[in-house]
Amino acid sequence: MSHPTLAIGGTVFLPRSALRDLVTVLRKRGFTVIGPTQVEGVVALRPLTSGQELPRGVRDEQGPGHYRLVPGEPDLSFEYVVGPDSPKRKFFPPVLNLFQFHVDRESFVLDAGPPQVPKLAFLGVRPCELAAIKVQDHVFGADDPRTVRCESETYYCESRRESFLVAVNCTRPGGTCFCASMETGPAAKDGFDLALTELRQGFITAVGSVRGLEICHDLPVREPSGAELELAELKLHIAHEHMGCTLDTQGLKDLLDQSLDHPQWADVAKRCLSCGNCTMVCPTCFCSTVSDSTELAGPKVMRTRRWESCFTHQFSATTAGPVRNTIRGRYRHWLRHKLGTWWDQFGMSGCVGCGRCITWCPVGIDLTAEAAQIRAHSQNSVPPVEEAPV
Amino acid sequence: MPPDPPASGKSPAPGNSASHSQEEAPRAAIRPRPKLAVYKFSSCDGCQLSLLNLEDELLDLVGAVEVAYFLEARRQVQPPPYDVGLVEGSISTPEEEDRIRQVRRDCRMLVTIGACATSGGIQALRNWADVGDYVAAVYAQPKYIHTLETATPIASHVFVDFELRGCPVNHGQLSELVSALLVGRKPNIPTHSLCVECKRRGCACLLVAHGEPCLGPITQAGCGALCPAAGRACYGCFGPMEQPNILSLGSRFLADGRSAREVKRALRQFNGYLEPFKQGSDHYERLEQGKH
Amino acid sequence: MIQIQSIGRPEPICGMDTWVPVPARILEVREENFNTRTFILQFVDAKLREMYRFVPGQFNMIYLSGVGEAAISISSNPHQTQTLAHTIRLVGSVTRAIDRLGVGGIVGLRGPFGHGWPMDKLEGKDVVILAGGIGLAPLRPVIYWLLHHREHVKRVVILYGCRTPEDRLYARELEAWAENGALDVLVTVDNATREWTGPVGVVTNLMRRIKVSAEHTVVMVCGPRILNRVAAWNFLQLHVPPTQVYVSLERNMNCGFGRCGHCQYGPKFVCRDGPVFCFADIADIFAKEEI
Repeated sequence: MSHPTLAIGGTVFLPRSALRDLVTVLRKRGFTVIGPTQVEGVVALRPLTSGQELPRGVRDEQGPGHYRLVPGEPDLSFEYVVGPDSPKRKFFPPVLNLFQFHVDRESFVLDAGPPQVPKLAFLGVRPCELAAIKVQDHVFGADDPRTVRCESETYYCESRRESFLVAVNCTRPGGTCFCASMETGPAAKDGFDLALTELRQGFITAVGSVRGLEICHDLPVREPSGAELELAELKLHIAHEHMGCTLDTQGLKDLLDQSLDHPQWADVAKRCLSCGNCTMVCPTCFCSTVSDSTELAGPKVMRTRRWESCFTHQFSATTAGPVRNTIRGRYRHWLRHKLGTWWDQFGMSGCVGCGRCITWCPVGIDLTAEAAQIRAHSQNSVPPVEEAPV
Repeated sequence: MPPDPPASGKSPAPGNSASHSQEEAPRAAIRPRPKLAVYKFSSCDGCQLSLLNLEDELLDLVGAVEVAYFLEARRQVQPPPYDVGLVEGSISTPEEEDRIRQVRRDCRMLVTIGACATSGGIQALRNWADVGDYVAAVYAQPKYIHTLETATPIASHVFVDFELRGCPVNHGQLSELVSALLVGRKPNIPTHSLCVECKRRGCACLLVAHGEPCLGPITQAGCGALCPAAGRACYGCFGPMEQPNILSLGSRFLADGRSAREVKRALRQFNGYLEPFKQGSDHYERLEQGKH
Repeated sequence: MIQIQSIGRPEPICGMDTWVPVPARILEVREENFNTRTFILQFVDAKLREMYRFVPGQFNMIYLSGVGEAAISISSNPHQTQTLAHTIRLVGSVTRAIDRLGVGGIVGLRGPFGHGWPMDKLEGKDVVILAGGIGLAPLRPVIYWLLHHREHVKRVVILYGCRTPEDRLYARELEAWAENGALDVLVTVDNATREWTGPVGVVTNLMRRIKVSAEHTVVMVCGPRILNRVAAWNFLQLHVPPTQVYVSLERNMNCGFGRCGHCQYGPKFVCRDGPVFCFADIADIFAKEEI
């Protein structure tokens, strides 16, 4: 079947009943399909064997340090937003054995590795997560063909190249979402193969790539009606206006650069646990440590990479001791990195507005509130220039 | 799932008199097949059992080190000196006070294993009470009982080179300790929060998603998030993490409707006598008594 | 006019994967002082010896099997890469492990990484090198380079300070350079011994003994954090432009190429954007703590 709108950049309608087929079609093409499932009271990303495993009729209630699943509209599949997991877990695994080897006279002989790269399809990637993937692509050099061999992140780049992304636009933002402020959502602009907007009968589906188009050919899609398109647009517009949080990004990088001695850092240090939860759930945080482990008996050495957090005391350890010795210094480093110095390093924001660090902070520290405090009580704060009335 | 061994780092154990000992890497790799001694003081033997529970690795361990003194496992004893001494248990009797000094003299490197040896253990709860009352309540003939007023960690008595936390210790950390010493690597024992391990493992947060009073954010990692993975909140058996912010987490618990007494009791468990938990629990005791 | 070799950053080498180091043999160990040794390393693979290039100030990740990696700056002559020298203070488990290994041992290398000293900005300038303690190690390739391209620059002054005369790195070389006349070498010690006839005191005191035309001078500083600060400030006070003051910084490093996050220094990655920084680029954060 073919429609005039079935093209890259075009939009089709996917009936609700075909959501299951989407999982099946992707699996048939050799993808391991990863999608949201309800696990231990949260929406977590897990491998899906069928579309049946997607949560249904579930909403999340999110706030600073607070997350609960509550009943929602029984017919809808995507009424929740992001949980603690993000696709980062798969492209950049929390613990990855890089290789195992032993020393044989004058050479390092490989016993195992490098690790096999999976072929992954993600269902239900939110626009903020697409933005986060774009950030990590840049951080790990997946978007830069000039990256030299000995500086390349092979596992990340290859698993990303293989991956298929089905985005889901957010029609019901969460209590800690601020993607509208970061201009990453609630509607996906690019970076997806398919992007769905949920309506009661089915999904307005944007086609973003050749591979997305191919998949659509295997699905019972039809041309969307004008009313359906309008409704989807209206839902996304309303979502845009109902973000749980906001962050004023105007001049934020410069403001933070000038606020290294701001009293707010000491204030937040009293509350911050330095537990690292924010960095673990952040979809852009990329810090890691590679370390060796050995067998009790035997010559084999394993080199393993693990997620690391800049909130650990030893993260900045030098022979003269850790550089960032206090929670104040570590929180300041983290917040400045996310909202400020990331621009210097990578030419983009390190924050995509997903709100995970706010929700999953055990004591509910809200970076948008901290940034607002710094702005409100900045010595250099200048009231915004109002346009003179004509 | 295997526990997630730590990522990096030198490890100043907070709030303990032996903390400085962990800042330095071991000076030299131990010579081939070093002599190992395992000692017991006031304890339940659980940490020694963790050593025996290495299972697959136990044969390798016996191949890699010479088990020279380990009464729990074998009666044969070789004379000191030993290269590494693993010490379980706290010091709670006058006899133990003397014996630990001899143990220190007998071992080139002394490593405490478990909460009792490192923090005083559950028996250190007596340090907040009158031990005489306990003895009188428990024993028919209290006059035969010779015990100290307090139960204290090994590091309160002798210099300790390294500490393994936990009640009991994690067997992955035990084998990491021994294999690291064999090659001269700084043992990969993290001092950061349990949350890092818990999140790496992908557990749902019991505090945020279920409102459970989880001590993970102030507790040192090392168990591989054993309890959270089973749906139970962390109760801090690995003791305080580096620079724990106990009062902030305590405020959250109070805001969730828990009493100062509950927070105090959460802190005063296996590691209640380790300094940051001790200070924290004393703070909530004062709060409980309205002395704030 | 001497043709200056290309200053572009050479491509680092590694094994079959980013994280696999290549084996190198320890050919020689020289004792510099009580806790510092210079290790002369050679790639086992002869092809790599020909391929390998580095810029003064760059570093290698040195790997000890089963122990771990440490970032160590290269201390040998950049024109001669058949062997590489690394001067190492034995303070951590990796550095102690390489010392135990001794001559004939096999270590792993990845590198070179980082941004080196400004060899392309020295033409016609006076050059002042100020180092404290082990800080001379990353500057030694600069000295070799300057000796090789002596006509390229005007005066070259080396100011070096260490605790005692016995603690001097490359002591014999320092004396040879001083005698050679091509460079001015001034060495000071915190604590003199009976034989010591040179100056005593902190290395920044030596700055008073030299006369340079500030605006035509390039300064290179490497030492402990406090020395870096004091020296950089002093040179700025002497009106050396901030764009001509360079410092080499130390941070915890794990990957070497700006992806593991450990060495972040505000907007910079010390491994990728440094370890050598132009003062003008870090002026805002240089005096701040916990950046």
